[in-house]
Amino acid sequence: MAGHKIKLQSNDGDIFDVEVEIAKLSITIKTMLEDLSMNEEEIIPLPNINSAIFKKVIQWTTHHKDDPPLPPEDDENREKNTNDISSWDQEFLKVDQGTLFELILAANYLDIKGLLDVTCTSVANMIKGKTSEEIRQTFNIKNDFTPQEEEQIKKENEWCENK
Amino acid sequence: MSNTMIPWLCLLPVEILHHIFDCLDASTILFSLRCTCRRLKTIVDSYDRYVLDFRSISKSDFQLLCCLINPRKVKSLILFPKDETSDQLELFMTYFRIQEFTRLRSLTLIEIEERQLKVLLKRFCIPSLTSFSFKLGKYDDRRTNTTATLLSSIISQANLHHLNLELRSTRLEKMIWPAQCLIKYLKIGSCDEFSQIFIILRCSPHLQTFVIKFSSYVDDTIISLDSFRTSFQQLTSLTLENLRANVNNLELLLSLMTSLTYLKLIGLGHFLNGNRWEQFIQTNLPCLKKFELFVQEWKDVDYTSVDIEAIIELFRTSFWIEHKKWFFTCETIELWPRVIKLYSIPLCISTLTYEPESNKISSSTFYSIINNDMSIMDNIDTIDFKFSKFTLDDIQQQAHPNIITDLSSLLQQACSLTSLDICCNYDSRRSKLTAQDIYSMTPSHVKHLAASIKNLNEVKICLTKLQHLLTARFFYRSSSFSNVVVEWLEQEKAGSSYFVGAVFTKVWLVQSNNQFKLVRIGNKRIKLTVDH
Repeated sequence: MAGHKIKLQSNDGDIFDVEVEIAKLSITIKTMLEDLSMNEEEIIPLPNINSAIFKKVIQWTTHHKDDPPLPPEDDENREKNTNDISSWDQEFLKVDQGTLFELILAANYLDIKGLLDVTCTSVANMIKGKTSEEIRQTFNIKNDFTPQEEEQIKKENEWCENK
Repeated sequence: MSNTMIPWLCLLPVEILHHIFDCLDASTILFSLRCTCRRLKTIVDSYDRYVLDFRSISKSDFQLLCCLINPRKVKSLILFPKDETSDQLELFMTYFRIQEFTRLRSLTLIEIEERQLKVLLKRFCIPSLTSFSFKLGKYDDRRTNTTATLLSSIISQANLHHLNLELRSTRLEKMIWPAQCLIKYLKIGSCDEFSQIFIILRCSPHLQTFVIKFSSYVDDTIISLDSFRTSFQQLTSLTLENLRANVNNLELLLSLMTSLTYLKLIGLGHFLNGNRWEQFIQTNLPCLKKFELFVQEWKDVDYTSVDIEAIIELFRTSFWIEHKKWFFTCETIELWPRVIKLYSIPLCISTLTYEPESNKISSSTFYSIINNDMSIMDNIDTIDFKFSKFTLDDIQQQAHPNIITDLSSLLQQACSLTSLDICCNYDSRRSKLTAQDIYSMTPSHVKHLAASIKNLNEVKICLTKLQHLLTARFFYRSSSFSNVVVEWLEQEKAGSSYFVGAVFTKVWLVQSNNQFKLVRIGNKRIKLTVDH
């Protein structure tokens, strides 16, 4: 029923009243409501998501609740266009890295494919065209290869030359 | 540790990292990510959904990828042996035993010669494919029947549910469709008759998406009485391109597809009547959620702004604007005032011929202020510029004072644009655009550039400023100039490869992420320099 709401609780205790139709964009919540016959009066706990991130998730699902379905496509064969992020989503994803990665984890836990796709695409765009060292700098990754391992990687690539 | 110091990327679960890899090309995964840290190397080594896309790849990257990748970890393969490196297919076959692509689910063959098709299809494991795309490059009419037989065999495979065929209708006509074809997505690149569509639809009870590009001439008569009694409820998405049909026949066809949720129509004809569309959709297409249109019509007298307003007015009803939220623009170009265009927003075509706004008479139901989530250019991947019309003199005389700024803005919006060709014909090569004009209008999402240049300094400026390019094709008026360009490339762009044509030089640029590039190529037309 349009406008009908359910209560969802983040892991830091905040309770959110969310329209059922919006909440059901999450397959995890949809399954809880339908398969587990959860009462709509019950508070549904979301132990893996904090309030700040859940607010963002609600913001995204609310904006995308009326999205027309894409033309049916075979997932395996969808041509990936990594620039394919709408201008609204681009604005939405102008957040710090921590928030972006927590959104990815939340989208994965809640099983919201659209949000997972767009956040993963956003991270992929941050990687594209970068060298290993630039990726390390961008994501604060420590180079933990031993000199022997680095040599090994180099050899694997040099092997191509001699093949 | 503060939020920004946490190495989030390394902490993600494997399945999410693999999801991110799905959005990356094989070169980035293997050349950059794999060399970042131990955990990412391990996760890359376990990844087995590579998409090997050999379109517009440099020859050195092609070789390196062929060496590094395990064919059993390739899910999707795109071969494109056209272009100046026409030996890609031969090289590919020397690097791989095709039978080892055991997990291949999607195969795309672009510009393949008809004589090569049989050899290739015998080696790939066709029964495992869920997707097959094929664009025939060089035709050999002696093999028409063989090609049709091969393709008939492919469409009868139980696992195949995605098929894209771009070849002449003479081959399509000879294909035999199984009575219960299992395909869910079908795109055909050349169709002559509506009757062909009916044959395919009758044999395809699972077909959900049908994309049809018509030939220049279409016989749109629907002669079979049986057609009127059959409905095609399985179909939810229909795209008709290059359609030149009678509107009554089109309506008859569409009325048999009442489950459509998506309809796209690109064509020429009497399709401008918003009131008629509104009534037809309400009556026959109750499920339609997305309607995209790009149609043109011409008449013997010039269209005026009054005509434009009369057409667009019929798309200002509450049905279009409030209920469906579908917006349209109607326009004519001053140079061709007898042709009128009507299109939905965003544009549903992939190639746009640029015209300055000042040359148009147009009216729209779309207001960007209230629709700021939508860009008119969302679907455009190619923009044609006819610079012969816009010379430096025009700019200096202020005939088009803001043209470079206008173009830059337009190109920045075209987020799907990957190739920019600003010298597509001879006249354009005489353009007086400077290197500064060229790089200022080339956005960072463009990977392939073709432009005309006047001297070596302009080549230097373009390549220095546009580090994101994968290929650049420079045209010049004097063929002797090629020597100067080549000499500079050899000195300054080590590792890149190039091809010298009669009036152009094409460069495949080495990306800085390829840290271990070591190449050795034996091809008389291609020279590679090695500097590592």
